[in-house]
Amino acid sequence: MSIGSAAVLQCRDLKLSYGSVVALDGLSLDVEPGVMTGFVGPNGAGKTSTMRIVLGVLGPDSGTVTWRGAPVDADARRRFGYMPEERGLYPKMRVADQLVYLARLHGLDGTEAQRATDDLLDRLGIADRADATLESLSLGNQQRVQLAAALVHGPDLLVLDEPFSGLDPIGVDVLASVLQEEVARGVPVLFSSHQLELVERLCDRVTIVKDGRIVAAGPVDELRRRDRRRVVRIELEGADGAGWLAGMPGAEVLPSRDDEPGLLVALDDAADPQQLLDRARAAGAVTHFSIVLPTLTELFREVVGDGGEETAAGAARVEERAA
Amino acid sequence: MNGARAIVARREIVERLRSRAFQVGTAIQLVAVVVVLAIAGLTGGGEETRTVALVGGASQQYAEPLRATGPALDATVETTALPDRAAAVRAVEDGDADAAVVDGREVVLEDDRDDTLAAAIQSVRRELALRDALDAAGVPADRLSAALAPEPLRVAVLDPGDSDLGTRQGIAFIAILLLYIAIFSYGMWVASGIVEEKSSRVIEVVLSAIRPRELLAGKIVGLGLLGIGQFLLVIAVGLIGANLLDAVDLPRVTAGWVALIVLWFLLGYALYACVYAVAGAIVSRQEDLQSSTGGLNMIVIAAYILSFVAIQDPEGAMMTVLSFLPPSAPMAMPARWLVTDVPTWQLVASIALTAASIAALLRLATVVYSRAALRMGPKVSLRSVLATRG
Repeated sequence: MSIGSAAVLQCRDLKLSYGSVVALDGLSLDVEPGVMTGFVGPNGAGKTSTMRIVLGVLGPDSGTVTWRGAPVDADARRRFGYMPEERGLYPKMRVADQLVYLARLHGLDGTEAQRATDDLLDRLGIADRADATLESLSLGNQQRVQLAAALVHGPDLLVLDEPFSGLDPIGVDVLASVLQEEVARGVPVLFSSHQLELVERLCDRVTIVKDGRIVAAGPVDELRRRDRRRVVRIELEGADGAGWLAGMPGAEVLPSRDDEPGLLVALDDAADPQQLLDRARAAGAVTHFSIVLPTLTELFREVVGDGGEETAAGAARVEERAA
Repeated sequence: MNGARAIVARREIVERLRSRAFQVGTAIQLVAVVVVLAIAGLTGGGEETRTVALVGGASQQYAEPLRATGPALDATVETTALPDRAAAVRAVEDGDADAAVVDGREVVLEDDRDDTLAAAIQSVRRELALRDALDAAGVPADRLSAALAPEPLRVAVLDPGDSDLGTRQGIAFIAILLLYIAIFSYGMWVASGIVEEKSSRVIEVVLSAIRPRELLAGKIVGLGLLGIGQFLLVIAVGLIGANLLDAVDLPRVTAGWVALIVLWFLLGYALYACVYAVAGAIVSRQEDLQSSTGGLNMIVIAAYILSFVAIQDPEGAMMTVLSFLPPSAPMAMPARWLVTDVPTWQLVASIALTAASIAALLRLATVVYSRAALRMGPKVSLRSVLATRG
């Protein structure tokens, strides 16, 4: 993994356990300015704990978090914006009032807080609901207010825990464009997600965590190219399924991709693509044979191995196809 | 108080003032005070008026002496002339008259043979009989009036304070009740306010901006300010209403009394707010609040009942002990002070003891709150919170 010297936020060797359960096992993480960083990993890998430590709502057993080279203190944290995994605001408080309140807790004065709230509600298209109580809003609008709560004080860093979960496609687009605007303003964004296609589309960098440690980190394209496995896409006429592949060492059938027809086969270092081609030709007429880059999802499954739920589910699908 | 605490306190006040529950609760308290005073004003207290119906010429001489018995009966006695016995009986039955004197020979009462008014009538009868007898014996008019209305005896009061002991005790009862209601309800505000932030999960957003101790302090201060406002409003309406309705005889209410009750309100609230904060911090749902505050509520209720019982004997050892124990001192000490002379050192010592307990409990509440604020799920035990780190 590369430790960028440009990183504004640096987590170093974070350790945290709950009793005998190790949540973080020496996790180090970098977030660079003006970059959208995706934070992915199986459930329980330590994403939420890491984010909570960055925001100071949780203290690590050991390790450091620095912001612009200095240990993060209360003043720096007041300039962070956070959306926790567990959403929630004051249900009976008026939308504008709670945004002004949160902005003031983050250090804005009354006038600035009011102006920032008005601007943001306008930008998110819910200015007409400013005086309504939160609980009277539709779920979609409540999610927009939640986003506004993270943004209202014009933060220097955005940390969002599963911001896309539960959003409808329009909500996803709104959130994605707001995050892209923030990044364009130079605000580093760190968000966690299980929607890997979304992470691949939005993020410049990705950090993959497993069992409380970082297992891969870097620009998305670089990670895809650096994958030691080669993924081969084969279109074959005259043979259904992947039965012809059975018994070939170092070859693994990947789940199909929407945008790529044919069969995807991952080959490890020991496997020879020529041998794969020979086998394919023996099974039928090969109409397409090419090496493609692994998607983030495939990369994720490989580096995370068989630790998480996603991996287990993915492996099950592969076996289904192979059978 | 720094900026974050003030902002939190302000939110607590503004949002609760806006809430329907608070508005209705305040209105109910004020209505209750007014109703209690109105009932007190109608049924007793103040100056009572007692009416005696007089039937026949022989009864008319009772009018003047009966009116003169008013101060002794703690009432104004009025007389009214009725034509016959039947009318008098009807008047007594209907409650238009409290008693009737018929032809100077018979007293008609509704039910109570031992009524003080009946005794007064009998006493007037003796006075009239004596006057007639002296008159018949040829006693001169000036000596007759001197005998019947002698110069009153000089009165030497040995313990002047005791004269309004009953009233002071009554006010002490009310003070205990008000302090109990205030501590109980404002303590629950703190507990449920904390749980509300946990159950709505807004707590994590707030704690990403400020420290737990700032949020807790702001909440306790804000709710306390609002509580004291409501408390003073209810007391003010009570005092003004009592004066307007002439419902109870208030001995002079000194600024000292009010200051002392307010001081003990603050001490009692601060003490219990810290403990209610702990009870709120260890649960995540309003439903669980009942069980986590149960034991605490029992302590508040016990302190109230014990103070209430002990004030019957304000000089007793039990009252003295209760006025020192921090859980009961906020109710017992002001009550005791209202009724008897409390040595200054005792008052100061009790305040110091309560203040020291508040300091210790605030530290405990801050630790528990900081560690448990983000713990969601079932109620966590206090021991496990204290054993683990945040």
